[in-house]
Amino acid sequence: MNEKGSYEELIKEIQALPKPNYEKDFNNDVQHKIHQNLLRYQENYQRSRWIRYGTNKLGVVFSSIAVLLLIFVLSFKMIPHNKWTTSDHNTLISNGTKKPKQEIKNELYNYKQYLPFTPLLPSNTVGHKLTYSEITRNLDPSQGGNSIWYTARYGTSFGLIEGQANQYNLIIHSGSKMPLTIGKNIQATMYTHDEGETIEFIKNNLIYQVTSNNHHLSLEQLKKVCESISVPATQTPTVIHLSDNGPQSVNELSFKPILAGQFYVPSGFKLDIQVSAINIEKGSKEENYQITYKNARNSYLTIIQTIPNSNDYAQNVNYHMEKMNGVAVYITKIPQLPTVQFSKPKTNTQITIDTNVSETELKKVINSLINE
Amino acid sequence: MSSQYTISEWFYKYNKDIYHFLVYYTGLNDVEDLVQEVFIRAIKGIDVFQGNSSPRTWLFSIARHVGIDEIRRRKRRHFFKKVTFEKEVLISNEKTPEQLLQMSETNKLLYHAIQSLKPNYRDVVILRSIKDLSVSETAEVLGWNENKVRLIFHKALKALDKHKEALSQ
Repeated sequence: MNEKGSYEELIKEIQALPKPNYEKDFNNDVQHKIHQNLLRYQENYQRSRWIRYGTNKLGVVFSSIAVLLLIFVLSFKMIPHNKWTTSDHNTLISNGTKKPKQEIKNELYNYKQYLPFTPLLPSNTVGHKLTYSEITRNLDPSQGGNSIWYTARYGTSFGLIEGQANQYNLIIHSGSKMPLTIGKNIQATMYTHDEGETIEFIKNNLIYQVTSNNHHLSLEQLKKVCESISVPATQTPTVIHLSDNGPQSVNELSFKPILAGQFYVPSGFKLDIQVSAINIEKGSKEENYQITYKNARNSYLTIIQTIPNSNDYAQNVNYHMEKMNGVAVYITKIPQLPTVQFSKPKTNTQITIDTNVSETELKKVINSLINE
Repeated sequence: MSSQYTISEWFYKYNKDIYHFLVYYTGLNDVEDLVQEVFIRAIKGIDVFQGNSSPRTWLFSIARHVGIDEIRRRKRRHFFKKVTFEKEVLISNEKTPEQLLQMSETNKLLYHAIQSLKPNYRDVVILRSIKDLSVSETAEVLGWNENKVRLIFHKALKALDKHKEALSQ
């Protein structure tokens, strides 16, 4: 069926409706102000996460020391020395609630398991040093659309992204395009946009996008950087983001989250998203499991389960505390923050709820999560 | 790419797109705060952003939710003012969206006809025609399948034609 039918003229009329006068009503000053607000918001948001990481790190260190001391004392008092074998030690570790920090380090060391290709870096970096690198892996078998890419940044001068050539998330949507050749015969495209220039090319079925930030590099320099991309990356990435979409996504996690169907959901809501996300940054690992339900009237109910539990919401002035079923539940006072946060008894998982359902329904959801 | 870099990049790439969408979607002239809210929600959700959809369509889907929430909030406020007999304060120097968009009389008619459509018709008309999103991109933003987008778009155009005619009489 032709969706436009006989309404071509009407569509043309709609398309011809005027755009806002950005210079007048949404000018650079307004944009800059909003951007500054966003940066401040993001900084605070990330700081609260860093506090979470920091608190967790200290917590792990102190609890590990305490557990080791306890094991040490108990083993000398209760277990004959020759019975303290490696397998006993492993059992003690695996029965514990926290994984040893070393395991996280090993995962970082084996970061290549997350990439189906070896990332390559330029040998000619125009004097700039690699300051940041990242692996992003999103698995979505339900839509057959896995996307995996590697990012490297050289200060604020330039950066590169590389991934499998068939990933449509790497398509550049904005900017003017110009064909060019790099090296002897590699066909490339140069995009010119507000933030600078990007040269994109495909080599060995991998797509490379090298961007000069704010026109920091000349076109010649940018081309030379592109031509020299041949050195396998050996440095552990600064950040690893992993996400997995669908019912199987729980398999990625090291904890057992409450699953869809195991807690109260208001009638008329349907399961929309189940996704796990793991972030590994400088030896700290955070795991999230998100379930979102939606109804036909655009109401939503999102539950995020997180380890480690930050408890930072308890000190956040934007939340007020209410006891429900003996559990301290923190409810936001401002709409920009998640609606509710609390710590689930027994598992100590951090539960975050973001929703626009009624207060009565929300309380039912909270109680069912607490009791699960 | 750090999330801070990503958000900044997306902000400068798409802020006008989002502003344009929100002006038409909400029928409001003061949408700067809503643009900010869209990116705040993006900051909060970036860790679970599905990389297999484009950031642009993801931001549009956030903007749509922000728009819906704002329309509801204004409706509630309007209702509250009515039931408490509070005087409506009119800010005379505030521009209407029609003024903001500097519309001709014909455009105003079409704009009002779009605003009077039922929500799912308005969704698809704004995304497909004003924002020029493809069928698949529109389907992604609205969480529909492509056939539904085609069907509803056709119905919406039919309804819009009627509304426009009714308004011009």
